Amino acid sequence: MSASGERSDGLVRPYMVTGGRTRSHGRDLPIETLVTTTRIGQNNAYRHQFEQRQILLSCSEPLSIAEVAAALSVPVGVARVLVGDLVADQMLRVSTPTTKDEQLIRRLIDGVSSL
Amino acid sequence: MASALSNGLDQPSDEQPKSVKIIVSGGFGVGKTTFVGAISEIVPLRTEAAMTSESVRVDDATWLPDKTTTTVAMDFGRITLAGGLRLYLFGTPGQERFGFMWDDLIRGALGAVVLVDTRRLDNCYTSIDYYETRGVPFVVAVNQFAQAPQHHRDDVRYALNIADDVPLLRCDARDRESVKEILLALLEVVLRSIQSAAAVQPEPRTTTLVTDGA
Repeated sequence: MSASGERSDGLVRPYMVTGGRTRSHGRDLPIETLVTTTRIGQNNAYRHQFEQRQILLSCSEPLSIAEVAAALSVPVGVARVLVGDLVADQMLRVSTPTTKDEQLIRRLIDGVSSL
Repeated sequence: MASALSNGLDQPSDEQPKSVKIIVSGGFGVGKTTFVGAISEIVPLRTEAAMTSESVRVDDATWLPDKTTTTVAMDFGRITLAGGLRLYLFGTPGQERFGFMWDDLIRGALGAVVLVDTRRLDNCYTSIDYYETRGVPFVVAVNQFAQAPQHHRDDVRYALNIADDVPLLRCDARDRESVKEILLALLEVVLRSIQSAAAVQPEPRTTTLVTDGA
């Protein structure tokens, strides 16, 4: 969404922000993993390049990796690398994986029923 | 490895938001995005994910299957429930010529909704096969298009060759209540699968399948 607009060479550009890497220092995070900017991340957002800064600013409220990807208009794989790096640097915090037990499913059933 | 990850340096670690996902799969134009949009609290967002597909063709010289990475567009939505629990719905195509290796996307999913258009039944075989072989709980939802002929549910079940305990329901992907019903049917299947997995642990008994005529 930047002033430069969308380019047709869309695949090259996203991976440039990751330095060509398709794997991050962080873990292989599922796409629904929620990430939140830590206080360190908030204080250091301005030090980062555009994409990382965007992530740190938009994750003041928890966002999933998929939402981060959509917000930055990059493929999920790119978002995952960027997020993984920021997590490793303690700029972002990831939510712990949700345990899929009976209690959780009942909560979901109640929640969806009352929508 | 764990040292690199903060264990709540800045904030109390107990109040972590939780998220789960459900996959909505089906052929092109079957109404996945409509389905997601009918219940999502946000306008469905679009992103791209790389998927490895393994072609059926085998290289004659080496007997190695071709592996290529395809990028597919995914639309997804979000529902926030009480206590900040987030349910994400990911719509993903599943009718490609090659069977998708969806492992990356599906990993950790509660289950899946297979959306079906009765005029193009063959578009959902890949999804059904995938979920069956991986033991992913799923339901089949026939998106009832006005122009499409109405088939008897048993005929559709027969044509799709799905087990009796897999719910097969009609739905209107544009209708919030209808979509809710499908999600609830899936959550019931997930619940049963968790319960039966737990029940299998202590004493190996022959299980009696109760068919509730869904």
